[in-house]
Amino acid sequence: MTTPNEAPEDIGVLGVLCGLHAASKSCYGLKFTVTILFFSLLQVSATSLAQTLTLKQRDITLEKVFTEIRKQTGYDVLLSAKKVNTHSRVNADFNHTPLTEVLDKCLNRFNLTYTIEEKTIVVAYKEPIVIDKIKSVFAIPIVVTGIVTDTVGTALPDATVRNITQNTSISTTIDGSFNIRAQAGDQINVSFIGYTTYTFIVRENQSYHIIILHSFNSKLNEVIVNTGYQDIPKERATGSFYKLDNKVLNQRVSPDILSRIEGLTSGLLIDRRDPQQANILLRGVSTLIFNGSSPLIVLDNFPYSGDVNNINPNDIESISVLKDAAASSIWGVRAGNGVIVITTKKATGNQALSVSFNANLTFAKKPDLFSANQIPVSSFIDLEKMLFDKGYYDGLFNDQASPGYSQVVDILNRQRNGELNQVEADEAINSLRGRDVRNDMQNYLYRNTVNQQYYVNLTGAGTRIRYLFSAGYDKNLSALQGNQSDRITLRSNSTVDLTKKWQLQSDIILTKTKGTSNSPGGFGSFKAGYNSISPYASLVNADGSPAAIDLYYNRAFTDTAGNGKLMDWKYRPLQELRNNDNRSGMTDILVNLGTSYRILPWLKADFRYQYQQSWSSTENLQNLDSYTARDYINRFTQINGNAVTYIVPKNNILYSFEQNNRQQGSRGQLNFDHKWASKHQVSAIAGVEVRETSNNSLTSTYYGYDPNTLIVTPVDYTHMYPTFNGVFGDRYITDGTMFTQTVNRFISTFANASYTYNEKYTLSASARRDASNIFGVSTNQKGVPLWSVGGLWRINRESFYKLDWMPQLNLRLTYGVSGNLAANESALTRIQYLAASRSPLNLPYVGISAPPNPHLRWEQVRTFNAGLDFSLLGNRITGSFEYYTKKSVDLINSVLLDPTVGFITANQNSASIFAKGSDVVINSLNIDGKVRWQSSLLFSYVNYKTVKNLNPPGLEGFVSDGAIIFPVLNYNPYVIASYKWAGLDPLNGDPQGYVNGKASKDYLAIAQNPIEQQVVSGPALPPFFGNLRNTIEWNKLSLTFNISYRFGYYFRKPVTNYSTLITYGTGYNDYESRWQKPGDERFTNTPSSNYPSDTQRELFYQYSSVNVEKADNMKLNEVYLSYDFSPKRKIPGVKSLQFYVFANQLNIILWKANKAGLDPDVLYSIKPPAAFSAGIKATF
Amino acid sequence: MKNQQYSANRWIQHTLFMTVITVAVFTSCNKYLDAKPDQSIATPSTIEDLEGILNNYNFVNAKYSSAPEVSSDDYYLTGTDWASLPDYQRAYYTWQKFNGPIGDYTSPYSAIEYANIIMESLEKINGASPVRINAVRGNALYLRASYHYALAQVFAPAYNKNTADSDQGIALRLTADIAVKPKRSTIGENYNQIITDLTKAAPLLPDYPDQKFRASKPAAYGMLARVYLAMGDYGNAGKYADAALKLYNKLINYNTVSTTATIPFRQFNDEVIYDSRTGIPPALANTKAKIDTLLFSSYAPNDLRRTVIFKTNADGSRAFKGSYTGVNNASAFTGIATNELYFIKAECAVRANDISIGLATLNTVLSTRWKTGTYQPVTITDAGVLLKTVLAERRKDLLFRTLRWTDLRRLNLEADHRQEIRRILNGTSYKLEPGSPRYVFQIDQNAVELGGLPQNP
Repeated sequence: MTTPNEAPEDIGVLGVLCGLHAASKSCYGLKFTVTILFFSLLQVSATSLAQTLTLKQRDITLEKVFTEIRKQTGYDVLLSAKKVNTHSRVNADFNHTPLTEVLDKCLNRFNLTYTIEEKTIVVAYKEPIVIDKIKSVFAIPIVVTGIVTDTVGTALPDATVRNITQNTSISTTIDGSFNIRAQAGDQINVSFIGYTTYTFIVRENQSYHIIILHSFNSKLNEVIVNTGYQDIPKERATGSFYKLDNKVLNQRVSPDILSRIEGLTSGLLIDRRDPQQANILLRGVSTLIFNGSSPLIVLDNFPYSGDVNNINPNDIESISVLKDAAASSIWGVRAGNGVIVITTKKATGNQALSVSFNANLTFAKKPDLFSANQIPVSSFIDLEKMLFDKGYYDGLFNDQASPGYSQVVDILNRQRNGELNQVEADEAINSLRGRDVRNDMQNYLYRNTVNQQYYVNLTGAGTRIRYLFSAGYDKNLSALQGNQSDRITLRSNSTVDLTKKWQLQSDIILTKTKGTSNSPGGFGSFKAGYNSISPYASLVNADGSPAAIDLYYNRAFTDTAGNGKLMDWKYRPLQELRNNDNRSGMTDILVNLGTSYRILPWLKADFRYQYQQSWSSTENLQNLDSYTARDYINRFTQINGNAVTYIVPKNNILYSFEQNNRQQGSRGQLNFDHKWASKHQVSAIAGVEVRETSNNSLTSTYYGYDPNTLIVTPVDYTHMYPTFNGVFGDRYITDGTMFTQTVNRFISTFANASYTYNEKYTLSASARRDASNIFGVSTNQKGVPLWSVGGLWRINRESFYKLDWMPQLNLRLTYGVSGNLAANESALTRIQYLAASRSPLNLPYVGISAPPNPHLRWEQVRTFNAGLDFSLLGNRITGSFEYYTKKSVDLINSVLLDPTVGFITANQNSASIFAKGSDVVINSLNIDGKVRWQSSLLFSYVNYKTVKNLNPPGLEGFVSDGAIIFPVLNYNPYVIASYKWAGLDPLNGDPQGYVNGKASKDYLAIAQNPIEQQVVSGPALPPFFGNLRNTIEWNKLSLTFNISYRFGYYFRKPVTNYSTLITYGTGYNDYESRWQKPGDERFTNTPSSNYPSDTQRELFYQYSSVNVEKADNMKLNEVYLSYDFSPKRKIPGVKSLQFYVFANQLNIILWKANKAGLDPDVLYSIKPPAAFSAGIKATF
Repeated sequence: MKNQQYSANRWIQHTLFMTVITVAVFTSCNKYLDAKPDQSIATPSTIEDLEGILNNYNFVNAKYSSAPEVSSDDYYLTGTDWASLPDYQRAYYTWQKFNGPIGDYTSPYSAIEYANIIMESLEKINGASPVRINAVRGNALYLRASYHYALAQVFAPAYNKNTADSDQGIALRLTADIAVKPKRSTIGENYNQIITDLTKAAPLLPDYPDQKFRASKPAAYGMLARVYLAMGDYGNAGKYADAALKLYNKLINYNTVSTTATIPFRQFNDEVIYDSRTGIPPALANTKAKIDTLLFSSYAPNDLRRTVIFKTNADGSRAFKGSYTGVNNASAFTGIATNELYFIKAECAVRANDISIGLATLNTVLSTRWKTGTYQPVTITDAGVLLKTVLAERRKDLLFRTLRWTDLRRLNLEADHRQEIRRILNGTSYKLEPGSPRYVFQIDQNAVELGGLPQNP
């Protein structure tokens, strides 16, 4: 409905825009903006959009009409009195006619009226009232005012308020309020997409209305998903979204947000095989960049550049996971792995001050170190004796200082030198057999842990302002003594309505953390080069003082070096625990300011700016008792007769690291949301975004630092000094100063539009162009256009749809392209400036990081997604089924080169991965009565493989344990492949494989077998995984337990490799069951031990198929129990009160496929202890 | 409608405002995006950048191959120590073929790539002083030549002037472009290129080795002397050794060196003209590698080298500690030092029958190696006998510099000097005969498989 006198302006504006556009050729993304704007100009109208009916039949009964209404709209019709004659006949001629119109037409003539409550139409006879009679005489103008909200009190801006009688309409303002002219007796109709229409009759004495609209169908459909750019009601979303609400997030206790979404999100798998580096995979792998598979994390509107662990989960309202291209491609080059949008709690509603409080304690016992698989101490001692006899350690005795050797080796050496006799030596050694260093570690290095969490939140509203303040405090003790962390979070969120059209939003988050990491290490630490702590070492002496271990130097050296003129040169772990003073702290401030202006009822302009800065520092003060300081000072100490000269000052050494991260982003965005002619609805956004993240750091070392006076003694970095006894030759004193500075910049233009016809069909499209400085100086590679299209068909709204048992059925289809960001790649030769402290010349120098790569491109991920949403049995069961394919192309991967060119590998766009999979979500209400039992089943399947790999690696003898991404054509990049196992040689216990189909011990030949002759088991990450979550409520008790399952994957069990055992001292229990005499091969697959060990033989056994097991398992990991005090109890001032307990890391294996008795999640390491939490939540 | 009209005008104003902002942002966007993502990362664009690359000691000076030393006969291993070695080291020690990816091949080529990148980047640099540009180019040429030479000692047979134009040499890399496929050249082409690069480098380099990790004129002449010696071109070898010594000829009197120090020599000591090295593989660690007993017993009692460059192990065997790298014992010197040049000069003089110069040169070096007052000058006048003495003293002075391997290969071409070397390990005897194909190592397996280069026999 464009009015003629508006048209010239349209053209004028467009003309201006085109002119400006020409001036900015480099950034064609603007076109989208122009298109959207032009499009929007054509739409000026306001009518209601409601449930519709299609029915064409002459002379049918009202009863039939009502039946049809029920079928097509899901609305029940109730007759208020028997007087209503449903056999009255009408002529129906409706084609997508709004329900209210149908009812008006059918009922008016029979003097019937109706009201709509939730999903029910109540039909009654019109009672003639006085005002009606008056109305016919005088028409009194009334201004009807009011506010439209949803059932929880949130204002609904943009709802249509229509005076049917007068045929005028307006939209509600941003705060949901409206005023419309009417006369008493006029019928006013209030509608809002996704909600039931409400109709009322204007009465003279009642001009203010609070209208609460109920949403259409089940709760599933109330879902609004947030993409970080806009809120999309799920009924109009074409893409694949998964939403986690506050309730689910709060049924766990943890200081961080990631552990709250794990196992609760469809399609999301967290690979925790490397405890240091949890890797988040959303729908599999779509990049080969190291650690590049994590989804983009967005906090409210901007990517979160800080440490995700700093976000207080108590501040989170909901999380939307964007899985396919239509959902995520609005995020462009960073969306290839999907996007996780975290939405914080906002000040909402118009309530009075409300205070909520949450506090809990989590307790866990110290870990059981004996749960770790390790070669028994006594066997290890026997092995050392054997190696000593064969002369393995002889080389160590030629070296004056390093490395240290174990007590057993020391005893044997002294016995050989005649310092001990056979009896003394045996006695000394046997006394070690009963020891296990794990006892001392458990006693002195570990502790039980207690984590505390407190959170308080205040929210309320005035007439024009809504506000929220929150404060949180977390204190976590690590299982390792000496390590702990604290976190304080403060948050303020407020919204101010400056005018009815103009709104300001502000959100400020302040996070402060501090921690200590004074533990010298735990089980598996204490390694230096080839040397590691002996399994029978003691951490304390008989008198209880900290014991020394010979890790870095041998005992003879540390006993005698310097004849007392040097500082003590021994390393004692417990002394370190007491001495260490390693502190870290971080302050993070995030300010998000937004303003929105409603230019027209259907057009809103948003401008947002976010500034985030974090300052972190780590200080590592090595006092004179610390090993690091003593060792470093000793190394340079010069002794001439009685004169002792310290080249490194004999004082503390301070290592410090300071980092400053800054992120700034601003975004201008136009939001268009409009419906007209009751059938058409367009919602679109377009905008421009500029973002910058920068990082500065300074690493420094201060010698001779005195923390009391803050004075530093200067040292000479420019000359070489001889080290003590020449142990390290001549050395410079290391100048640890290092600066880094990085800046990443992005300019992006984006647009997203969806069109819905008749609430039945929705089409969506999005496009985005990103430009960045990341790829270096050449501009030609900087921009990449990414896009998506999608469609939604709500089948149950079709007139032909007859399935009463399935009231909802939607079909969604999308396709699109998003990207991956490969930072630190460049088309040109890349060099790096390096500090003098890392140079043997003590000069600043330049490294060449990469050869030129003129063909570098951005990685692209092309995703197709098909989804079905359904509800069954009166919405008792709701769910969705999705199928998708993802092709990730131009993946940057390290390509093996002919080393003659001077680089062994180069990163090139060389690989593609193809993934297909499906996500199934089924929520059901199994029992609904006094006992309420709800279930939520998540099932995900994802299968991916490398489909292109230029310059593939040689696949002769390819074996893998799937621990890291390794692309092999036609296989999963995490595939486990093994040598085929032919059993042990019955003569000597050698492991046997196959060469050309025959059992063989030619390990070199076996290692050349083509991959076709290897055993390829499957992926090391589960292709099938999910959860079954049950909540049972009875009275005020609620119990939730979550069973996780993972199928279809494999693991390689750790086995003793004799080379590794001899070199590094690392071995496992299977050493005990090794082949020792003929016949043993019937009971064991562990080969005989041998020396000198043959690396090829050991690798063959380690990577043979006999050590691969199925990892499939089902586990019960967590149970949550809560008790609600009902408000009826009337505790003064308390609105609600809840107690809860939570058990986590239970690790109860309900079923597992492997017979080896191994928990595939805890293969190499210590079993994590179960954690128990108890807490209280209250609202005042 | 009027109301709507009014709103539409307002809206137009807002849109215009937003558009102006947008355009303003975009017109400056190219500049905005030119910011370096990491201040420490760049593309080489200044002379300082290239000098910085030359300061990258580990990649520029320390990428030489240690394989020839592992296979040489100056040391031996016990059976248990041998057993504890990685497989490729065991194979090198016993002169067995080893196929695989090896750093001995890849490391020198990576240094050559650095040199090529430096030379190609130099073309794009403006405004730097010619002296600095010359020095950088001279260094890059020197590096390329010396690494090509080092590779030729390991992966190609010894230079034989009769067959040089047909013998398969190493691949020469003369470009930084990794897309240019490498091809193996003939030995003749190898040595031609090496000599060309060094001859071009010499005039660009400074006369005096101020910074010994950088190449200088005496370094380039010294390297030419070494290359000509390996080719058996004794005339040129002597000429260049002499030219180098004319510019720099300091010797260390071993009487001034500590005999007890773990590391007796300093880095950049007086004899060093150009400092470079190879990392020490496990086989050569001085806790394992024991000095050949015959070799050790050939040092006279008053020869200071017995105590300066060797230490005695607990079991009475000897280990080497006299590396000129001066930093620690985990590296072997491969650079140019004056003692090597004196020995080249002496050998070439004797071979040219210039006995007096030969004797004088030899005595100049040796007199610094003996206890003060005990040195008896060599007075042999028979050229054949004197040559053997010079060669024996050369071996004794230039231990663990990867020179022995080249000497063995070169001398095996001469009837008077050829010899078979042997090792005994766990009762098994291994031998390496003159002219054996095992004098040439297998090239990296990836070069064969990915680059299609022919493997050595």
